[in-house]
Amino acid sequence: MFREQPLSFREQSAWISLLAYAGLYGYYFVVLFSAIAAGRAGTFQYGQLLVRVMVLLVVIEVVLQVAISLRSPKEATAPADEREREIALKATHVAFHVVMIGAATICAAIALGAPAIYTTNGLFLAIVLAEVARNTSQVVSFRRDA
Amino acid sequence: MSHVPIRNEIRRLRFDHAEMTQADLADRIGVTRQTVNAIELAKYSPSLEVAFRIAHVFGVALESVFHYEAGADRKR
Repeated sequence: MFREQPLSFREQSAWISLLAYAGLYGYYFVVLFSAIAAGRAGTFQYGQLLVRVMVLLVVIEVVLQVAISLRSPKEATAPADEREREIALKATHVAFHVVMIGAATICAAIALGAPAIYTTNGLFLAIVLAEVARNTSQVVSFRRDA
Repeated sequence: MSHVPIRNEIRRLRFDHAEMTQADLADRIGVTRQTVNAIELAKYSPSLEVAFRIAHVFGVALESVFHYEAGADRKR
């Protein structure tokens, strides 16, 4: 018999993704922007740091998502209900706008001849912000209904 | 989803049916306990299908479970 969880499985999942993305990619972009601000944009090896952050993100996500699945096995295997689907759809809508604004900004930067370190990381930042916005929207919706 | 002009009698009906828990009702209508809680607190309007399932579980007509409050505007 499992104890009843105050948060649904999908809300816990959204919290994990939100904190993992914001924490790990937040760290990556702080280090990157610090290097750029220090005038090391041309020599900074951001690829290695990015790979480490991505691997760590995958490990953290898998471990924590499996852990909450084991605590709520029934909910984890059940399909999302209508309210959860509605919340997910709204969150995807929010994320779409974030990624579109980011893509338009990067297009403008490329047209203006911005260096690759800015355009590649800018595009990546747009994707990360979209994911953070998606998870934030889900968490806010779940909390509002609680 | 913050406020809906539809009130319901789910809490009373649960109490009248051997103090059925939100989790029991959720299992029987195929949603999560948190969704039942949101419906009960009038923070979420269920689909017609879920509304009919709730009424069916309690063995009553739909209008005995949900009441529309005319004039209560939906706050978005």
